[in-house]
Amino acid sequence: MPNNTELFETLHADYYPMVNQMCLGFMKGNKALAQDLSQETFINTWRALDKFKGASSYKTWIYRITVNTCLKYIRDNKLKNQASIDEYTQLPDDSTDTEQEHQALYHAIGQLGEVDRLIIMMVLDELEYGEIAEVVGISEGNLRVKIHRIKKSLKKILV
Amino acid sequence: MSDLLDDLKNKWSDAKGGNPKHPSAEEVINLSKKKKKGAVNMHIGNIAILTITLIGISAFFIYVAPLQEILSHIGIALMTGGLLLRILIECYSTYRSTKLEISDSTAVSNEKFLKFYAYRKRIHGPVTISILVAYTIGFYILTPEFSTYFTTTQVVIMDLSYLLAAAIFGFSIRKGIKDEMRLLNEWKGLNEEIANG
Repeated sequence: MPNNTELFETLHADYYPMVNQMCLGFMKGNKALAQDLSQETFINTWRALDKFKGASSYKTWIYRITVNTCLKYIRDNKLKNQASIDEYTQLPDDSTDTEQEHQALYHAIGQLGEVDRLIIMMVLDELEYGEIAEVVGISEGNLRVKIHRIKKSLKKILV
Repeated sequence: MSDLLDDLKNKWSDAKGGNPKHPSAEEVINLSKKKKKGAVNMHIGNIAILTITLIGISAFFIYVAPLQEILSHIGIALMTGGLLLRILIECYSTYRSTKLEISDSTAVSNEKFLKFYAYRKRIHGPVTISILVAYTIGFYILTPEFSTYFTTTQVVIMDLSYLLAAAIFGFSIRKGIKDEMRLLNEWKGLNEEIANG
């Protein structure tokens, strides 16, 4: 059985891209803020490692920590109403079409409410509805209603 | 609608590509330890400052100025009692903050944060204001006996200086309450968003 440090190294290596992308979506494509937020998420993961009971998979557990860290981070850092993350992050002129497409996706997700933003990112990550409901702490029925409404909002944003 | 979702899923998966540059696991662990140490030192520092103030005031009234009148004893009790209460609250707040769990589900974690910030708002608001009022009353109750040992000018300077210090402290309480109110309202809003969407 690996010790905590070895286990953390594995989790960090396996889940950093997933966490960072969620943070990017939450921070509307702002890479610097997303990197800081990802780091904060893994600091919280390291601190909570002793309390992991194995009731869910590590993936679901890290999603929970990521979601809670995102929601806490913008409040602690007074970023909720700041223009820095609300504004569309400008890409350099030489950015590729693909980069601009990704940025547009983060921007569209960024226009949703905080919780909706996190839910749709887990949907896009192909997490099971049951797992998303467990992460957020709502019933699966309630989650389905929310997802339906989020999809409609996204359609409006993207048209 | 499912076409839109499939398209978004493809774009999302495509955007994930690569492993962005980031600190190593070891660096994150070291940073975590450093941050924890900083937070613990901050709490210990606050408690130490309050404790030293309490010891200083107590020593002053025991060894330097052992006031005799009952009214003065009540004043000293209000001042030291208020400080002692503040120290106990600080210790309890530190303990409560360690009980916040970031790996709970969002709804549960949010509920805990909401309760914590409601508690903090009470502490920074009515409780701290009451302690300041008690301390102020205690301080001014000492004036009659002080005036028998000091000149009127010295007593007036002392009383006015206290007023200035209390005003500065009052402004800092006001700022604290405003911050706690903002956080509390934001967590409440989030709670509603989770429950009702």
